[in-house]
Amino acid sequence: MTDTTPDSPRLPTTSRAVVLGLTALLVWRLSMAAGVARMTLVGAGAGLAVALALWLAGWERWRPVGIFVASLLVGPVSVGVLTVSAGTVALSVQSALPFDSLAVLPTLIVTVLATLFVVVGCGAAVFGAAASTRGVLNRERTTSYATVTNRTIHPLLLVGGVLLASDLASFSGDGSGLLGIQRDAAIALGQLTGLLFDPTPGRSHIAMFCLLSALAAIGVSRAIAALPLTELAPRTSDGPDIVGAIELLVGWLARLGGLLLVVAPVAGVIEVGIDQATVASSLPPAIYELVVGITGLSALRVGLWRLFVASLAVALAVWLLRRTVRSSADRIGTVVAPYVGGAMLAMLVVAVAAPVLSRIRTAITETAPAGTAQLFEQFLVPVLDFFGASTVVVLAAVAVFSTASIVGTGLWLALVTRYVTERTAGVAVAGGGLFVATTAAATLGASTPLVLAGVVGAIVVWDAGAFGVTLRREAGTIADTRRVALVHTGATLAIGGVGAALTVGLIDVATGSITATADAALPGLVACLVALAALSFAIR
Amino acid sequence: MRRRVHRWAGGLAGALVLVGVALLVGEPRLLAAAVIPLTYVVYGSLSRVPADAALAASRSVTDAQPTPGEPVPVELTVRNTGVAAVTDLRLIDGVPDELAVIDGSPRACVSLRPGEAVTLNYALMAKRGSYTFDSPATRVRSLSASDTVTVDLTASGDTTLTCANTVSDVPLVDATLPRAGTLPTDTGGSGLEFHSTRSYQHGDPINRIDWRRYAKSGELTTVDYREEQAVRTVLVVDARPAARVTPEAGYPTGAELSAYAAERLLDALSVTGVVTSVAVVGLDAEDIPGGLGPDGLAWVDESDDHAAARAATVFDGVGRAANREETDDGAGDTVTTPYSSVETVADGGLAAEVAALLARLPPTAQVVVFSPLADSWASSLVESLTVRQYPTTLVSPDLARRDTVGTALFGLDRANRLKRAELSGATVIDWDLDNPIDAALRASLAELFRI
Repeated sequence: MTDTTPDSPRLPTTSRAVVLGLTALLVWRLSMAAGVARMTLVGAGAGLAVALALWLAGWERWRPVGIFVASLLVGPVSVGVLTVSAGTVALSVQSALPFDSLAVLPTLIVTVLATLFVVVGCGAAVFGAAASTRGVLNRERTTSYATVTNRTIHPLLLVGGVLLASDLASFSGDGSGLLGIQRDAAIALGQLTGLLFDPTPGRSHIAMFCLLSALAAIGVSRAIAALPLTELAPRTSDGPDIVGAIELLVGWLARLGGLLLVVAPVAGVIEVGIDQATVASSLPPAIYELVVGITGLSALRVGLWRLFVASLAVALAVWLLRRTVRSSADRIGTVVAPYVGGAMLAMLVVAVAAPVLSRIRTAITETAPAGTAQLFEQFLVPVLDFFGASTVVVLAAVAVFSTASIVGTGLWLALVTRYVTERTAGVAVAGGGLFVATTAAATLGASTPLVLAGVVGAIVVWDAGAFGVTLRREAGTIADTRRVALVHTGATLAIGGVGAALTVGLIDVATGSITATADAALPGLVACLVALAALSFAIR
Repeated sequence: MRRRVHRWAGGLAGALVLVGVALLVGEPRLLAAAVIPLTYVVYGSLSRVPADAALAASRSVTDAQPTPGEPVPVELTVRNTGVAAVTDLRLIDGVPDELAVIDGSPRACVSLRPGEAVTLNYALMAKRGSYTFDSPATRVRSLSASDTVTVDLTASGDTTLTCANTVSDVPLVDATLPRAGTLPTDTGGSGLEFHSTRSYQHGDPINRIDWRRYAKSGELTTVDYREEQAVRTVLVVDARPAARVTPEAGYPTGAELSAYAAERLLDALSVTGVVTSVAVVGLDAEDIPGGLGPDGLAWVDESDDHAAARAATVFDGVGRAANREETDDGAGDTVTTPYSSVETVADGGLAAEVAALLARLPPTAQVVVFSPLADSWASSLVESLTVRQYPTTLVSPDLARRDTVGTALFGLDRANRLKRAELSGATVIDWDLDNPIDAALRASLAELFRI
């Protein structure tokens, strides 16, 4: 077919109204029936945030701005998803306390899982419906979103690493005056820095010195090679050959570094395996003293280490500069935006770390049961005291914000493995979420009309959305599709009504007249699972 | 073509999930609710497109012979001639690939009762050439959308759209060309207008000796008159890949518009008796039947056999080149590019084409260059011509919409090139596409032959 208007992933207005309206109605009714309205509200907010972030991650008009805002949304998305998951479980368990006996445990697990499924299903439905309106759930956007979430965490990781390193460095030494984990960490760090920069006097340290020298030589070689010296140096036939000299120096340093890297392990074996007195007696005294003096010189080692670090910094800066020059402004903005967003989140976390941690400690100490408070004081308080509020909260934020990365990667995996069809992914998630939430709500005692409406509604949401996608693809954006969409959706609703009527009739007929034993239920369950797996494989 | 879509197969999975959960938690309502997805599975299996569905289509093109760049309204009517209702009919008219829809949509999605009809109204942007519509494609779905039938309808009515520059429509007949066919020069010799006097030289015609002066001073002097030479106008069309830019998809390219303007001017000059040649630069041998000349130019002289037909063939070749798909990545042979990605041709190419043109130009020629000025080739050519004392005119269709930064930059570049051509001494005609080319040429035709 000749298609003369651009293919749009957006749903037609009628289909969009059906999907959004029905989803909102069912989410509201199901969450009220399950008694998790607040948590569902948070879940719905997280779902909307994910859909918004996906849209922003692929926003062509202002791509750097979109990616920057999407990276900022990593915070709300992560906190929302974790709050929904952990909060629902905690509230469900709390409502069941205290236990009369362990016999209620299976029922409790089913209740907790069902409640969680209602909340997660509703959140997924809201996300899917929101994503389907603009068709943002596709491979390109999920790839972009997964990349954004991963890059957003990098500044937090960097800040956390720096804080952790500075904390550890500040406690390095012999550990005097410290207790417990602080003392052990301080002693380990002291041994490591001593081995590197402050060796034992009166003996040779050829291996470590060679290693540091090799690192410095290779680092300087790389830094000189990275700098545009040969490009800037004049090439004249009568003047000195500066380019040749630079290339010679680079080659010489690289070969020296390689040689020292070979020598270092050999020297290490000799120093460990042979007594120092034997080494001293095998060399002339003057040379031995010279080797001991040079290889044990702390200032020289520190200098070599700093040279290595500075060379790395230069090579990295030149590489970044070259990449930047070769890229367009838009491309640079796209790459840098998530790091900027991550840096802003890191600053925010550092700024609120102390008061937030203080409030949490106070809350746990004052409100938690005695046993929990004691465990907290015994295990967590020393860690907090040792690393400090900023370090702990930043590292915790890394773990929390990884949730958004997991969500993004999960969506991407679902699409690339083709478990979800790309064109109808949004409505499939919406319908599936409603179906799961309805099934879970039924186990929590939701009314029969609501359960039947939920099952029919989930199917209608998927059908209306998938049908709308084909309408938009084949009829374009200008054609009026309202009448066809309404006829189709009306027919689907009517069939759902027939199915619901049959179900009610079946319930009325079967109640009290059919009984099943537990022995029969288990094989039936296994058969269902096997059939489901086979069907899923066949459909895919 | 009938196709079954297994879109309700997921209902089986839903039913199994409900049964499984019902068995797991002992919830009989879920077990019974498995009937609902199974109902949809049955619905999808039984639903069919009516076997007696029948459709008829007719198309009408309002203006069957438009000029390039003109919108052409098209109307397609599809009627349900069967006895059953068609609940989901999707149709797309077979718009020629080369033409762009600029208003309305050639697609529709409707439900039709028996005897009911739907009419699609849309407009196409006319381009030079003759284009045939494909059959309208229709797809009928069953109510459950699990059964589809796709057919191409045979549309009655108009099936082609022809856009040509008709010779009968002489556009510039009211334009008066001063002394058409002759070109006064700055050199003295025989003629009508006084130019200068000089000392008599042996062999000068006796009738040009200034006898009065001889009577007064006794010196023999000869009167020179401004020499007049036969005029030959050469129309040079820039059809290189760089000139095949377009403001939007489906719109005529700069090369096509240049060829169109050249063709209109050729018609006008033919009527007024000016000896005219046509040269098109940038075509491939495959674009013109018979290929190019040995110097790589498509050149038609008025003295050639069937010159008018050959000129039309050459102008058609410009349209063929514009419609040709991109063939060579390395040489910047980009077809119908948006002007944000115009690739300029290397200097070597410029020199070769200009050299070939200069070698073919008669010494008494006046040259009219047609180019969208997408790169500096045409302005460089104009400079080369004016340096060699060729009276030169540059006609440039303005393709810059100036609605984005990129198009504004394109417009700025073009304005600079126009200025450059003007400063070199050429006459510049800036063709605003909102006005007909005839108006621009009529306003400037007198300038065209100003010496």
